[in-house]
Amino acid sequence: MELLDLQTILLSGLTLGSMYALMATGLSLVWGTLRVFNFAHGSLMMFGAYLAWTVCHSRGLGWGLSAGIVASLVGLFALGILLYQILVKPFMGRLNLVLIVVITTLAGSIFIDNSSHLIWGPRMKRLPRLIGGEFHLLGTSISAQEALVILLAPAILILLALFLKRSKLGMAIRGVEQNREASLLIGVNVEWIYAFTFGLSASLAAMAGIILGSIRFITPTMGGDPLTRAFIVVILGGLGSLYGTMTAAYIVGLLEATCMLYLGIYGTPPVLFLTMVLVLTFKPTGLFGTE
Amino acid sequence: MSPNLLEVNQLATGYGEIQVLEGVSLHLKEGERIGLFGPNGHGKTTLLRAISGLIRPWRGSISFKGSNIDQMTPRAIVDLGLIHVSQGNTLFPRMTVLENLHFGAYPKKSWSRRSESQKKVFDLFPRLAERKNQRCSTLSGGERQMLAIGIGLMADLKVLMLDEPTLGLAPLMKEMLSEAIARITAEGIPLILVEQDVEFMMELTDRIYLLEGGRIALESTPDEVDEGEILKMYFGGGD
Amino acid sequence: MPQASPNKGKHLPLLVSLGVLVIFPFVNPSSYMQHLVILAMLYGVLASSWDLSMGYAGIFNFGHMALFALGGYAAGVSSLHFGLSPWLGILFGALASVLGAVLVSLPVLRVKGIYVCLVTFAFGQLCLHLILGQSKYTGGSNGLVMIPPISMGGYAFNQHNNLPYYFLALVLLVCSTYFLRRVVTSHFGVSIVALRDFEDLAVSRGVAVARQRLLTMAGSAVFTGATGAVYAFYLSSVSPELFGFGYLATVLSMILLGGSSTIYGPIMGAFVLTFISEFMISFGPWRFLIIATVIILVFLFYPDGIWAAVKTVGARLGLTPKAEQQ
Repeated sequence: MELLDLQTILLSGLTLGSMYALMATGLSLVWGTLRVFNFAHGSLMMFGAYLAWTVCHSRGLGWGLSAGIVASLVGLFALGILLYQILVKPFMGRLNLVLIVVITTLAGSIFIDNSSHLIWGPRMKRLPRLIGGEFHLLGTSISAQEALVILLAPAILILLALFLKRSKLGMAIRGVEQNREASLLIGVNVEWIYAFTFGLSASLAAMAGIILGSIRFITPTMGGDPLTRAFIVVILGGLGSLYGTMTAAYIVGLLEATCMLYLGIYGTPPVLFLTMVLVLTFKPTGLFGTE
Repeated sequence: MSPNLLEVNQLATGYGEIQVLEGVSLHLKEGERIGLFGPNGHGKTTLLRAISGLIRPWRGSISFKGSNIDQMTPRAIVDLGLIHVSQGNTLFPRMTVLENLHFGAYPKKSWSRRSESQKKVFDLFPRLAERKNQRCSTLSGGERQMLAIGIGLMADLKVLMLDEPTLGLAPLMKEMLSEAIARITAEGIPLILVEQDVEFMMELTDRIYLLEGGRIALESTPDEVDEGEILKMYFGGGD
Repeated sequence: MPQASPNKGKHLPLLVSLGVLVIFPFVNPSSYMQHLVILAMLYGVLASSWDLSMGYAGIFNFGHMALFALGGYAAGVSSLHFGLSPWLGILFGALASVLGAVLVSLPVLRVKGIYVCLVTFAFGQLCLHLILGQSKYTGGSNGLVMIPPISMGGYAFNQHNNLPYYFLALVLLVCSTYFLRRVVTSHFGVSIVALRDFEDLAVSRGVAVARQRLLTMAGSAVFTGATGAVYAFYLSSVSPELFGFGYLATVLSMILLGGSSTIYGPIMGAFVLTFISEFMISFGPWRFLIIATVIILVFLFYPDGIWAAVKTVGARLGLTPKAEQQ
């Protein structure tokens, strides 16, 4: 393997891994706390990118990128809470909760996708870069934006981990995840924790969408592949461990980068799928799974 | 205004279509300690869960300090000071002992006092202090029970409700727990103690109720009642 | 509207429905309505076959649409690019589908709950990517078009208001339903329900989880693939959209709104939803948007599904017996 290849794989893999980590962590968080799976996660990512674009771009509100990012994170947090109220909360306590929520969030996803198509049209858009320019690293050139992404995502995830570990609210989220009834008996407003977690998960998706939208393009269907990748990540990493999810995200990112280089865009999905299948065969709960 | 701190009147409830409690009435006065015993599956845990708000009554009422609490959320009931330490799985396995305790002080009122409360708990259960930074999944059965009670003590406690604290514990552990609970109630905290171990229960309570078939079958005091008779009655001939 | 009855032995409504379907093309003047009924019957096979794995066996299978699409693509490719007879195409469709079902079962034999859903879904996406990748044969993202119609002895099926297709679809529906009903009332059928509801008990009685799952998935794929093939020939095209969320949600709703674990329920659901969905086909993005909204509203207000609501109303009016889910 040439050195250039290795660098390309490394940089590309870390970028992809960062994005997948943000996506998959949101899914994992919701699963851990609410025990439901959000099929609308990809759509939320897409919507977050569009929202950021609308607020920042001159053909939208033209308020600049920072405003766009803030608007997107806050807006998606609210949207996440709204989705929780309509698509999840009414069905809590029912026997087939997981299946029902898969279908309602599936429907929600369709709704958001098609609405976005109607609002913004099918043509591609792009988010401006936070940092312009390129520089040379390890003998290859890398755009400053991609370098930012590689540093930003882990930073956000570390912040998230600190939030969960150190803050009172974070403790409540972990508590609800580990023992819902005991949390109730302590006086935690579990309802509110559910809504907050869903909103937080949506904001993480928005962040992933903003990243993808700045490196590649924003389209109504941009959430599809990342969502499937996020599924592979949570399966590979195993549900129930946030650190496992984050690690698996980078593994998948690097694996994908490697495949892309040698097998091309259509050779990659089979390898990823096979890897997932292989892991599942030997460890049905994923590499780091606890359930 | 009723002189009773907690009053349960003709309470009937259950799960889904299955009725568990048929019409239960009992009361608890300030500073009093009552015990609840009876065969498994006859409603003792259900009664506590109804009081702490985890399930709703179908008929009847529950009142605390004169006001109706049976439609309140568990959170609101915790705010009133009614703390339910439930049976079995009550801990947060991936948190340390210290984190578990701090979590117990979650409501605003208790949160600011958490260092104080924590000191009291460690004073009562020195073993927990030794293990304070260990994950609670590494604790023994007895230590877990201590921690469960300790979590309950971190709250702004007005009434303590314990559901079978000695379940599965060795006699030495039970001794320790008995002393600890006695110390807690000695400070005037009213207690509702649900127990299978009738001996254990009688040492710690002023009045006892037998719950059988979803109803109160007997109300008495530890002195008046014959322990041997009770044991015979529902163990069918001795411990 | 055909009525379905889940009670064994109550053959009358079944025969009446069959009779209605047989007579329909002769009394119906509208070719559009005929088209819708053909589609409804094909979706009926799809949905009821899916009910076998999802409803009866409780396998959280999200890759079933991929099996359907595989059938369609196999038939389309064999017919268009290799010039093989459409009847062979139908056979290939069934084979491709069963092969796909076996492949997707392997990773989920030992896996539980939500993982099954995710893995089977990922499998579907994998198939999508493979098909997109071979665009020379599959038409890529534009789909496969201009598939020649089925013909028998020189007589092409797309004549006379598609009457031959109508009866082919009807035959498929009848055979598939018969097959599925035989399976679910057999010893095998009972064992997979037992596995779903009382897994530990069933395993202790010697029921082999992996084997039953594999057989169930294969069984659910046989007619699915054949129908996918007929679908492709009928529409002369097959599109990668079949792998998308839109179709997934629509067909799932046929099962759930119709009533899962009944075989007949999904067929009913198929008729209702086909009419609604196809009616809106010119609406563009609004089509699936409205369907999605309807799905959410139905779940919110009729949590046990429309079929259950219909049965309850019917029972109160003394029309239908209050039968429980099997």
